[in-house]
Amino acid sequence: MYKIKEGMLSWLLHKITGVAIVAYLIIHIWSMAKMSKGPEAFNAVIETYKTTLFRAGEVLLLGAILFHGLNGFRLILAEFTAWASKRHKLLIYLTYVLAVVLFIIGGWFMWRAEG
Amino acid sequence: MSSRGSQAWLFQRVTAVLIFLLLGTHVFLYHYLMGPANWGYDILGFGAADLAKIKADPNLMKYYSLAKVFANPMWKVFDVTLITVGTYHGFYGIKAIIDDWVTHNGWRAIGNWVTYLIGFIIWVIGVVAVISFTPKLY
Amino acid sequence: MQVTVEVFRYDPDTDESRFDTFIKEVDPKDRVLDVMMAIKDEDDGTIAFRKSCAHGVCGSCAMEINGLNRLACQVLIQDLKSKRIHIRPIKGMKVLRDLIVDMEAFFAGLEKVKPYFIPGEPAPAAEYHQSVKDRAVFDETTKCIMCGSCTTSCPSFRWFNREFVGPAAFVKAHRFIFDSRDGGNEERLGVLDDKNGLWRCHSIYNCTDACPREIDITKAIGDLKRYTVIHR
Ligand code: SF4
Ligand code: FES
Repeated sequence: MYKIKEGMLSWLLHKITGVAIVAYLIIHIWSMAKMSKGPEAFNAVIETYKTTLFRAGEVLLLGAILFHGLNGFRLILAEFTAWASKRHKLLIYLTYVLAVVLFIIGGWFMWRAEG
Repeated sequence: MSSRGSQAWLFQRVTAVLIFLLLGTHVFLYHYLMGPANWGYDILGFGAADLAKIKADPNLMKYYSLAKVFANPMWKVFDVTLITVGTYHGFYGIKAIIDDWVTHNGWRAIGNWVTYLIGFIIWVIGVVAVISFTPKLY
Repeated sequence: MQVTVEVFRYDPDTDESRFDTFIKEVDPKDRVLDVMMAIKDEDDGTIAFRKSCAHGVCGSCAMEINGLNRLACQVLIQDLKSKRIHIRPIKGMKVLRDLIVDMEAFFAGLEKVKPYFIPGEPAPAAEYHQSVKDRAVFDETTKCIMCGSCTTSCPSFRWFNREFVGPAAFVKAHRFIFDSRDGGNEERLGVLDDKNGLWRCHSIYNCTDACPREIDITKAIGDLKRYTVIHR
C-alpha cells in the first residue's frame, strides 16, 4: 500500500470532518426551524439537546470544526504563500497539536457546562 | 470569461474566511453569552418581569434572549448571511467530494444534483425560519 | 547485510501477477537498482524493469519502493531503514510486464499543457532577452525529468481520474507559463481551468514528497492556481 504521509492524512481528515459538519448543519438548521415556533417548541427541542448522546455529539463536532478550520487555514496559507508551502509538514503537525489542545480545553468546558 | 472551476475554488476560500468570522460571532453570542456564561441578562437589559419568568423556567432564558436578539433586524441579516455562506460552503464541499469519488459520469451528475437540491432545501428552511421568526415577548 | 527483496511480477501472456522473494547479500551503500541488477544477473534473468542512466537523470526507473515512489537508482539500501524491500510498479497505469508500465496516460497529461515554447507576439528580431530575476521564477520547474513519480503518487490521479492532467503536467505548465519569453499562456489556461485540471488538486503533497528532483510541486501548483484565478 502507498504510504499515507502527513498531507494525505490531513486531506482525508478534512473530507471526513467536512461531511460530519454538513450533517450537523442539516440537523442544526432543521431543529432551529422547529425552535423558532414559540417557547413551548423551543423547550421541547432544548430537552433533546440535553441528552448525553447529543452532548457527546456536540463535543465531537467541536473537534471536527477545530480540525477542519485549522487545516483549512493551513491550506489557504499553503496555496497563497510559498512560505507556508515550503513548511507544509511543520504546519500540518502544528494543526494537529493546536486542534488537540483546543479540543481538550474546549471539550472540557462544553461537557461541564449546563448545555 | 468562461470559467470551469477557478471561481468556485476562490469562492470556497472566501466563504471559508467568512464562516470563520461569522461562526465565531455566532457561537460566542448564542452558545456562550446566552448559554453557559448567562451574561444575556445584563447585555440584553432584562427587566424585573423577564427575570421573574426566567426564574420559573431556566430554558426560557435562552428563548427570551433569542427573541430579544431577533427584535433587532440586523441579527436577522447576520443569520441569513451565515446560513447562506455556510450551506454554500458545506454543500459545495460535498459536491467536490462527489466529483472526486464518484467516477461514473451518470452517478456523478445525479449525485451533484441531489446535493444541490438538499442544500437548497436546507437553505430555504433556515432562511424562512429566521425571517418569519416573530418573537413572542412577554 | 542481508535483505529480503519482494518484487512484483506480471506476465502479460498468462495475465497472472505475484510477488517473487529474493534474499540478497548487499552493501548498505548499494542502491536499490544495484540490488535489482544483481537479482537479474544472479537469480532471475526474466525480471523486467526500465533503467538507463543509473544516475537519476533519465527518469526511467521510477517504482514504488516500500510504499513510496522513488527512483531505484537514487535510493540507498541504508536509507530505507528496513531489511525488507518491497518493490512494485508505479500505480494508476497499465502494467505491461513486471515493473514496466504503460506511460501513455502520463504523457497524455503532459501533452495537454503544450510543454514547449510558444513564441509571443511580436517575436524579437534577434535573440530573446531574459533577466536573471525572470529566469529564477521558473528555475525549479525546469528540473523535471518526467519520471512519473509525482502523478502516480497522487490519489486524484491513481484513485479517481486518469484524465486528470496531473502534477507533472502542472510542473511543465509552470515552467512555460512563468517564462517571460513564452506567449502561449492563453492556450494553456483552458487546460488548467478545467474539471480535469488544477481544481482536482487538493494540496495533498504526495507529489512534492515523491519528486526525486525535490521540486516543490505543490507550491508550483499554488502559483498556477493564483495565476489562473487572476487571468480567467
Ligand atoms: S516533477 Fe518530479 S516527480 Fe514529477 S515527473 Fe518531474 S521529476 Fe518526476
Ligand atoms: S536509471 Fe535513469 S533515473 Fe534511474
